[in-house]
Amino acid sequence: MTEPSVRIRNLSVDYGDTVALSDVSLQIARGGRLALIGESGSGKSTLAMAIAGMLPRQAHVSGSIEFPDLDRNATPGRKPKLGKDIGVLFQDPGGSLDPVMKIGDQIAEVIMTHQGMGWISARVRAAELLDRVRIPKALSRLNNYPHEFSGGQKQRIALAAALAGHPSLLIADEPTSALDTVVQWHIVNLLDELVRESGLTLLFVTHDIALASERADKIAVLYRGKLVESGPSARVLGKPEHPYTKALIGAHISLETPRGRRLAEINGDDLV
Amino acid sequence: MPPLASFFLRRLASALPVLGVVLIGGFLLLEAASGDAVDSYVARSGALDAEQMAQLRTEWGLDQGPLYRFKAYASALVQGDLGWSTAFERPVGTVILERLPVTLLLMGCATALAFFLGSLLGVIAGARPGSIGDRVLSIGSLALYAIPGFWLGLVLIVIFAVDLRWLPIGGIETIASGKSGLARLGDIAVHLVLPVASLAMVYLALYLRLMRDRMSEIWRDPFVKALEARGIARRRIVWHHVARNAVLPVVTMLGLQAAAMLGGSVVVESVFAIPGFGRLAAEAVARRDTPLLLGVILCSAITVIIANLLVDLAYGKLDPRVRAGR
Repeated sequence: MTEPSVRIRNLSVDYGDTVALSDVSLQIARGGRLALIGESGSGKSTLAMAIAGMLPRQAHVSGSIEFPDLDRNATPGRKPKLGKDIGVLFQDPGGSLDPVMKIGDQIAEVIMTHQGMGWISARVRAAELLDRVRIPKALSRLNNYPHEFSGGQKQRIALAAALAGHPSLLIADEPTSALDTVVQWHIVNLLDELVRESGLTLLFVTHDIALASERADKIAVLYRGKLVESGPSARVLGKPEHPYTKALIGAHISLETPRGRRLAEINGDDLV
Repeated sequence: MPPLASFFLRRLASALPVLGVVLIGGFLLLEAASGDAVDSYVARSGALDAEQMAQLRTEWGLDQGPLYRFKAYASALVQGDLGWSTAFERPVGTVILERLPVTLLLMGCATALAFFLGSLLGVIAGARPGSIGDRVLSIGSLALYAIPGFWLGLVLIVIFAVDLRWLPIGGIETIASGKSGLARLGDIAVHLVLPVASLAMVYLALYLRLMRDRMSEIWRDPFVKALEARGIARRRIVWHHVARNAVLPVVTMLGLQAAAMLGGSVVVESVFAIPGFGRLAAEAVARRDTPLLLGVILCSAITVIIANLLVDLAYGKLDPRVRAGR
């Protein structure tokens, strides 16, 4: 087995009395696609932000997060650089872009920061990236501002900016939750394609089980700050071991769910 | 017509009713005050008997009713005639043109100083909200904001003009110095230092606080987190993103403060004995010189309208969302 892209050992995060994550150990395979699922407050976003190194300053962290890839290339124990080693895509597409800067400049500044390119070549590169995320007539839209794009397009632009520094790991924190279903589908397909093409490692946080089962090769289920189950998607969803995973699958609603059927409720007291 | 020119014309046209209201209001207020231009003339120049006073009133048109006089003023105004100043015994237009540049220079310098220095210090304070530098600047600006301009002016005069003798005590230039060209400009600049400083300080504090507060709000905006996630250097986030977004309300305030600045210049011009527009307004009221006062009001209103227009244009340049909506 090859070295993983990220190795997490006994990670715990708390904010004083509130425990957000306790004793999580997990590996993300290089080029793999891992979905973190769980309900709101389960700690899935905390885990994603901990890997990105973007936890608030008040957070107490114990345990370790290693990036074997980085150790191999350079000085051991080097911290990953945001933008260059890790790209992050957030939930709110409107909130990821500076409202008063041209989108071409916002992508170009990431390229200039990490690639050491001049402004002109960075702008050319930005146009290529916009083209890759399927913004029509990319070159002519470099000088447009975020408000001139739709929600789905803004998320594509944010994706282009997240990928502009050539990161090897992309962390997507509920990247499609704020978008409507059709747009969601397009973004997910695009994400899928880019990951395959460039050999990215993808970690995505979602509460959408259908999305996780379709797009991830591994799933990790978090509940109340604990990792309750993890493994290949088909195994976790087909033969769930933990009662919470079973309950989560039972509560899933899809187009095939018969109308009028009462959805299963998750009663937390039975599970712990 | 180019869109910019038509925008300009539309804004001026929409300002016309405002000018009308301002003029009528100013006229009525002066009508309501006791005494008229002849009383004021007599009070200054001494003896005139009743017959001479009546003759002067006829000559200046004061024997007519207010409605007639306002109509006469308005019809002359439409033809571009601002009337005759009874206090200065010269045409109002000439008097105003003499005084306006001085005040515009004073206001312009004070506005520029307050805006640039204020927002610069605001960025320094807002770059790290809650840091020691931020606290020092915030408390300093609060203290500065609490100091009235005329008091600051007097203190500055005592320190720099009386005790240290570094700067002139008042006026706009050395009288009959015979200087011309660059030497004269330098002379005016030296005279402007203290009045500009005392007029600008309050606004400097205002812009500093506004910039700093807006920046500390923008730090919490999700796009800042996204920029950090892309590895953009903090310095660049401060200047190119947070400060750039925070300057928008400061520019709006710049337009709103143009009128207040004109009011403040009345006080500062009196303290520093500068023959400016603000003092002209005070004299016009004291001398019950209706045409002069109306001329002053009209010019102030136009100045404020133009200042706001320039601010709107700048705002459109700074905020792409507004430009699209115009």
